Amino acid sequence: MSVNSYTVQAVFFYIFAALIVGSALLVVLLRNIVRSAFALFFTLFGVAGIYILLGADFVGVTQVLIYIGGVLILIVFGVMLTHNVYSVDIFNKLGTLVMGTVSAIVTFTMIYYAIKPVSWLYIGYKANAPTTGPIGRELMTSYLLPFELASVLLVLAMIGAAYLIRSEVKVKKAAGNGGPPGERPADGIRKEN
Amino acid sequence: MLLSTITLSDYLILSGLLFSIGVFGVLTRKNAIAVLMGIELMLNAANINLVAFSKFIDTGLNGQIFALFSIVIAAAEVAVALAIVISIYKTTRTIDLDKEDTLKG
Repeated sequence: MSVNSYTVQAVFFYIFAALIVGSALLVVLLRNIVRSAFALFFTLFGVAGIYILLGADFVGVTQVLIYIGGVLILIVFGVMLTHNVYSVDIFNKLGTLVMGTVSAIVTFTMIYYAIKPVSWLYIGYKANAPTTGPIGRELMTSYLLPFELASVLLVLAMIGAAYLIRSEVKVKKAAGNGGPPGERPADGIRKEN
Repeated sequence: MLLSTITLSDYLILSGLLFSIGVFGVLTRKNAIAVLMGIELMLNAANINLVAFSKFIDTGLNGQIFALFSIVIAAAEVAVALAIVISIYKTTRTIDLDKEDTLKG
């Protein structure tokens, strides 16, 4: 509660903020997409650090587990499965680049001037308590319906993803216009049927 | 201003920065997976907002629970999006978004 602890908090905030912004810039600017994926790793870790700093331990751990352990692995898989990525020129034409920069700056300016003048109605200091128990209780009471819907959504997404990839292979086999050069496990399984 | 107390506005500005970087990535990249990474950056920016509001102006944990749901939906979204990207790659042999104009009249 002392000034000292606030200063420590501020130092960590700026460290994580620098990590997030720096690596996010690398994500969007690097030419090599594999390196972009690795930069994304640091961005996601920085965001997890921000969550911990905000006293959201459960969300922070979830971020590490799902984003870094799941989403990032999926993205790296996507990069590897679609791999003439190196030859594809990653950036658009110069005009698009300029337009993208302008829209990003305009977006940030808008957000900045929307945030800056507001004086928020703080509820006062909130001690950092473990959140896992309360979140579990909330999920099983007030948020039970969204919780169940989320599980249904995840199953649907999983089935949908599997279906999308497999049905494509089946269509290709029927059309017979040649498969991709490297045979993938999914193709092999499909062709044995 | 530096090294003073970190307030809600600082977190919101950080998330605004991250969001703008994501916008830049989505608008300028040609590679479909790189565009997906930009979308991930924007989703993370939104989640930082939710958790920050939960810390500063929420009496309960509603913001954190919203962030959790948002993370779950992002995971589902990435799975489906990558499946679409890979199946597009299998048919057209490219993930260059400028060349995916099959639906163009």
